[in-house]
Amino acid sequence: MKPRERKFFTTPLCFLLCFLFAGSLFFIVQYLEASCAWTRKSIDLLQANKKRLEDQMQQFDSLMAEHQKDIKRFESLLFTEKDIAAFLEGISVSSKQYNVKPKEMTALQAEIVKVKDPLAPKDVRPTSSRDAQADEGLYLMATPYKLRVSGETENVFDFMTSLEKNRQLLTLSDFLVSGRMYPEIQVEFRLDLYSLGGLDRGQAAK
Amino acid sequence: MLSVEISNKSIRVLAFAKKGRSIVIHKAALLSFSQDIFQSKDIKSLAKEFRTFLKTNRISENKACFTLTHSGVVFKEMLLPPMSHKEAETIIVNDIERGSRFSARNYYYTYRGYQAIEAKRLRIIYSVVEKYLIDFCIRLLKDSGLKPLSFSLAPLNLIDIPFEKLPPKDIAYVLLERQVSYVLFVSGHGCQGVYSIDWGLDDLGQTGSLDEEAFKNLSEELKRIIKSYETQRDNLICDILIMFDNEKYSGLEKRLALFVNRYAVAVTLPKTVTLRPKTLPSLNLAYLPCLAAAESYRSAKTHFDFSQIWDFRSTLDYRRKVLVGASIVALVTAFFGLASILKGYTQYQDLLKQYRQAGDEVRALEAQTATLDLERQKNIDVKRKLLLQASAVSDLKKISWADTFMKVASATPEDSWIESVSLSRLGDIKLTGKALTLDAVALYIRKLRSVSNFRESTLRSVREATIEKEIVQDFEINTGVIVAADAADEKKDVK
Repeated sequence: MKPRERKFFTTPLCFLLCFLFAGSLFFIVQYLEASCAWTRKSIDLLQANKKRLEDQMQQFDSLMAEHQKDIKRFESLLFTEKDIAAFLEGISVSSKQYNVKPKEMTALQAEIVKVKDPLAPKDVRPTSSRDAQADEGLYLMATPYKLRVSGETENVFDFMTSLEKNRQLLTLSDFLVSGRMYPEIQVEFRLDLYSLGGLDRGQAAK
Repeated sequence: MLSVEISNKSIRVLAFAKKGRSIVIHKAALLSFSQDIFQSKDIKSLAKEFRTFLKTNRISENKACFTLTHSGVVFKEMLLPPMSHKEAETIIVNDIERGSRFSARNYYYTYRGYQAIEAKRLRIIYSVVEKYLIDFCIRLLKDSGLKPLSFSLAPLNLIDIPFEKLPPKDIAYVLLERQVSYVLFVSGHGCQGVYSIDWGLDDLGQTGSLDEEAFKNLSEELKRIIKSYETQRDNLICDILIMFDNEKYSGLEKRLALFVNRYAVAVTLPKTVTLRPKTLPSLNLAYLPCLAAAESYRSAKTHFDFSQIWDFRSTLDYRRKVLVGASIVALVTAFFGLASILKGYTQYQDLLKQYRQAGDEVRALEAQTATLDLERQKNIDVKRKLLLQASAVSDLKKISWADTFMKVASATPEDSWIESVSLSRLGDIKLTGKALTLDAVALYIRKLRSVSNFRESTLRSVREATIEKEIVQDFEINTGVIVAADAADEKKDVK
C-alpha cells in the first residue's frame, strides 16, 4: 500500500489553473467570434448603405443632367441680352416692313416676374424685393418697353402680331388705341421681353 | 516520518527517515492505555494525550503511516481459479458481504493474491475490518496533528518485512499482542494462511510470574494451529518466528518454541533497516508491526482498493497521470486555442479594417448625397418658381388683344365711332368715342353686353358736343374681358 499524499492543494490548483486557462481561451474565442459576427453584420449593412447611396448618386447625376437640360430648353425660349438688342433693332426693320411709324420707345425699369407662391404659408407675405428673389437662384426677368406706334389700323395690328410671333417669350399689354385720325391709328402698348435672371449664379452653383 | 501501530490498549510509534531504499529508525515510543481506546467516545482528549506523548518524546514528524492491530480484523483465505484481480475483488466483496457483520460500505478490506503454480489456483488472503475502526484511527491521527498517508493491517503486513537469515522452507510467524495473537504461515510463495488466537500477552501476566495456565493454553492453541496447518497442507513447519515484547517478556520465545517443539528463529532485521545507536540501540520486537507498516509504505505489495479509505485521486500515480494528461490536453488545447485565437484575431483585424474603410466610404457618400440632395431641392424650388412665373406670363397671353379689338370694332354701331380704346393687362377695357344720338350710345352698350366673354359694360359718361356745327354725343364706356378665375388671381400679382 502506498498512497503517497502530496500537498492537498496541488491537484485542485492545477485543475483550477487549467480551468482558468481553458476558460480564458474559451472566453477570448467567444468574444472574437461575437466581435467578428457583429463586424460582418455591420460591414454588410455598410455595403448595403453604400450601394443605396451610390444608386442615389447616379439618380442625382441623371436628375442634375435633366435639370440642366430643362434649364437650357427653357433658356432657349427666353431672351438673352444679345437677343434683346437684336430684337430692338428688328423692331425698326419690322415697322418699315409694315409701314408703321414708331413714335416712341421707352425702356422701363426691368423687374422680376413676381408670383404668389401657392405652397407658401398664408401668413407669410411674399418677398417682393429683387434681392430676396434673386437669392433663390434662377428667376424669370421681365424687361419692359413702352412703345407708341402709328399707322393704318391693319398695318399696326399686323406689326403687333408679327411682334408676338417672335420665337422668344414676350408679351404685349396695356394697350391704348387712339383713332382720331382714322384710318390712321396710334397704339401705345407695353412690350415685356422675358429673360432668365440669376443665370451666372446658377451656373456657378452647377 | 512516523509509523504508528494502533491497537486496543496501546499506540506504538516508530520515527524513521528514508534514505534511498533504506530506513533509519531513530525513535521508538509506546503509549499505553488502561482501557480499550476504540471504546472511547472522546477522541479529542485521546488525540490531545497522544499529541502530548509525541511532544514529550520529541517526535516532531507529522507524516505517518499506520497499522491497525485489532481483534475485530477478520482474515480469510480463498482458493480461486486463475482470474484477474478485478474479478477476484468482486468475489472477495461478495464473500465479505455474505455475512451479516459486514454490509455494503461499512467495512474496508485488503487482500493478497498468490498464484499457486502447481495447483493452477489463485490463493487469496483477505483481511476485512469495520470501517469505523479505520475512521477512528484516521481521525485520531489527524486530530493529533499527523497526516496519515497509508495504512496496513497487522499481521498481514509482517510478510513485507524482508527478514534476514530466515530458513528457505516454510515458517510460522507468531505475533503476540497484548490481547490477541496471530499465526501466519509463510512459504516461498507468500502467505499460506492466517490464524488468530484470542490469547494475548496481557493474559500471561508479568515476566517474573507468568500465568502458567494461560501460557499453557496459549501454547496449546499455537501447537494445535500448527498441527492443523501441517495436516491440512501436508507440510511440516519446523521454524517459528515469534514477535512480541521481548524487553518485557524476555526468554518467552524459547519457552514457547520448546513447548510447541519447534525451532525459534532469531529475528534479524533487514539490511535496509538500520537503527540510530545514539537514540535507539536495539529494537523491541513489539515494534515489528510498525516496521511492517513502514516497509509496506515503502514497497507496496498488497492489493488494496485505496478508494475505500482515501480518494484514489489523492494517490501520487493518479495525480501524476492526471497532471500529465491534463498538461497534454492543456498544451494541445492551448496550441489549437491560441492558433484559432490568432487566426480569429487576424480575421477580426481584417474585418475591422474593412469596416473602417466601408464606414469612411459611406460617410463620404453621405456627405456627397447630402450636398446633392440640397442641390436637388434647390433645383426643384427653382423649377417650381420658374414654372409659376412662366404660368403667370402665359396668363397674360390668355387675353387676345386682336380678338378683343375685333369684337369691340364689330360691336360699334354705324352712327357711332371710337376715338380711343385702352386694354389693360387685367382685361379692363375703356372706350371713348362719339355717337350721333344717345340711342346709338345705348345700342352700343347693348351690343357690347351681348359680346361673349365681355364683362358688364357700364357707361361712365356721355356729354353733348359739337363737331363742325353738328351735335354729337361724347361717351365713355367701361367694360372688360372675362378671364379665367385662377388666371385673374395670378394677374393681380403680375405687374
